[in-house]
Amino acid sequence: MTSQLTDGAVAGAPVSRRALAFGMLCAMAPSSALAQAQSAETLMEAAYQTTRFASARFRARLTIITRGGSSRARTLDGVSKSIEGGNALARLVRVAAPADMRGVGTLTIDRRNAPDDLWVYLPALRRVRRLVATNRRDAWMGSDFSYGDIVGHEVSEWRHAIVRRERVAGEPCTVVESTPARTNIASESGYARRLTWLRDTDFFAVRTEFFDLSDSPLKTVEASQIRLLDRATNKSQAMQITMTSARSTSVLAFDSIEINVPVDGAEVAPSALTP
Amino acid sequence: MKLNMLCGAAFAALVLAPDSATADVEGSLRASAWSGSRAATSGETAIINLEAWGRSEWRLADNLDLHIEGWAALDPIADGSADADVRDAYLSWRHGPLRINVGRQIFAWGRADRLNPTDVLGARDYRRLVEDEADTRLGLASITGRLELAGGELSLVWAPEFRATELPQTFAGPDLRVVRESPDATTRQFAVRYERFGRSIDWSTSYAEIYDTAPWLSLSVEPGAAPTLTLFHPRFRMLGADAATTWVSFGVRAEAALYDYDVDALRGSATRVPTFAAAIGVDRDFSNSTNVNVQLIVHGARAASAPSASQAIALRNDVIQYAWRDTVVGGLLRVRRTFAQDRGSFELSAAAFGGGGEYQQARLGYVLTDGVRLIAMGERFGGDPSSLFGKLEDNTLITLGVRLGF
Repeated sequence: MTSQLTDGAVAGAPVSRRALAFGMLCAMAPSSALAQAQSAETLMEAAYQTTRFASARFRARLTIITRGGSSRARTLDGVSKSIEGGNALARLVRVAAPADMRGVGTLTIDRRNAPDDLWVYLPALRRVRRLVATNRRDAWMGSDFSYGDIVGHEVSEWRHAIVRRERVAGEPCTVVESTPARTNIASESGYARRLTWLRDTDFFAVRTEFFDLSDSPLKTVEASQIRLLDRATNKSQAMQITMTSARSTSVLAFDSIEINVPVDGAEVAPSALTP
Repeated sequence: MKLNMLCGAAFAALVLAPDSATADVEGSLRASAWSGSRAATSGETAIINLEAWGRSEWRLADNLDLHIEGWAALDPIADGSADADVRDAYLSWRHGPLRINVGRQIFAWGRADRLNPTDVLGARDYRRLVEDEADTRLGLASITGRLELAGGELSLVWAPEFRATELPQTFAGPDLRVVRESPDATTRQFAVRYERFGRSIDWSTSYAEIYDTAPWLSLSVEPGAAPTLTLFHPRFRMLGADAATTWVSFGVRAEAALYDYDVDALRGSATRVPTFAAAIGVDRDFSNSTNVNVQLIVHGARAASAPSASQAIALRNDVIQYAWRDTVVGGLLRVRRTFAQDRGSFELSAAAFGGGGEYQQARLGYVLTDGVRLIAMGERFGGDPSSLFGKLEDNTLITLGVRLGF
């Protein structure tokens, strides 16, 4: 079944996708009491599982605004597909604009409990290049998002604890602190810890704060315009995701999303990065 | 294949395209000032080069695309004349696991950094006043079949066009006649490659039977006539492989190729003939914005028959072919740092070969706004005048440029 979501409209069909929301979506529609009864791992795992989707296509606009007020924008076309028996999510994102970046593409294969793969294609070089795992901390498309933020943060690689309850935009939320389960996770992600605000109504991660390796506040991401895409499985998508750091703000706004569309495996293979 | 034939074929494809065809079109205007040309001549004055680049992708049907890329420039090699080139002009047809490309296209084989032993398809014009070495590539008319096979992709290439690599050196002299000789059987050029992207490792293996794009020199002297320097292109076979993987925090790449030349076609003008080349390199990111890339390169050659012509010509061939020793070992170091959230980048590169001099390049780029990029670059060649880089000493230059994208 295919459904389409355009900006400002809600499609009633199933399944959203994890697309670029880096583990911010949550499934189920629990009550506040249920939310409080869940363990931190269960909450984060539910979010992680809920955001793995069969396939999707989207167009989004990434805008980077510096503290001085200047801005740059990229239009992105993306496609994703669950592969390897559902144990991995392949996501290919290609720059459609501006002209001098058109054709730049990245392919990420996000695996559960196994090493991820990252490739980048630069049209000028006409070569697909494999990136190392530590590139996960690098800026994605020059934005405040890192590759790791885009690929997602594996739940089992972090230790989670419920630290408090707070309201965000009037919504009661459970605040979960996540710390690296292994030291290399900290160096690879660039984060000493994360704080995630999961709203009680659907466990959606409406805010995440990131702390650098010296445990200083690094950046904050806020999710807005959250759309319910699949009522049956309570899957949602934030149509606007705003990452703010000390030097700039990056806004990822989805213009359109098609989910559960046919996606051939070849569309999310490294060779698909080349023309 | 003639330029006008390619343009005509591309135009015909567009005319015949259905109304539903869609296109992505982009271009750039590039202006740059250079301290000299790349002709390795001394005492040059500043040169201004203006270029217009265009690239377009047309979706003619669900399974049929047209790719076009080319440039036109007022003075691309600083000889006072305008020029243009079509780098890509090919139709791409897909059917299931099969993709067929017909037309001129650029091939960039190999996973090593910059110096790629398997990158033998397609020529370059090293005389071009461009600050990005990738822009020196020339397209090659070919028919390419790509088939998804056993988890990888098998590519078969037939390339009936031959284009010579243009070196940044002048061969002409007042008492020397220069003849450029093209291979007479370019329809016999073909190549095959199997490439696989896997979990944790990417690799490919390739084979080609083609003509050497780099020119070989031979000198002939006829009684009563000016000596004739002939630039010719012998046939050779290449068997190569490459691989890339990651290890801890390092990206690791390796690439190697064996070469087999028709020695009889070398006209006794070489003291050594290339037999193999290999490169292995690692790179690592530091502090989120600095990438360090180190690469080792080895070229091997075997002795050829004693030159029947000028010893100087034979030695020059040895330099062009990285064969001035039986084994030439070199290294490449590249450090790249980005700043201002990827608006700016600064790159330092250095290369050196045993007995071959040294080369340094500094390159600074900055994106003023989307579509407006400033570029500054300096290159220095030096070393023994008889070496590869030493011979290019007069090619040391600096440039300032601006690129407007639209």
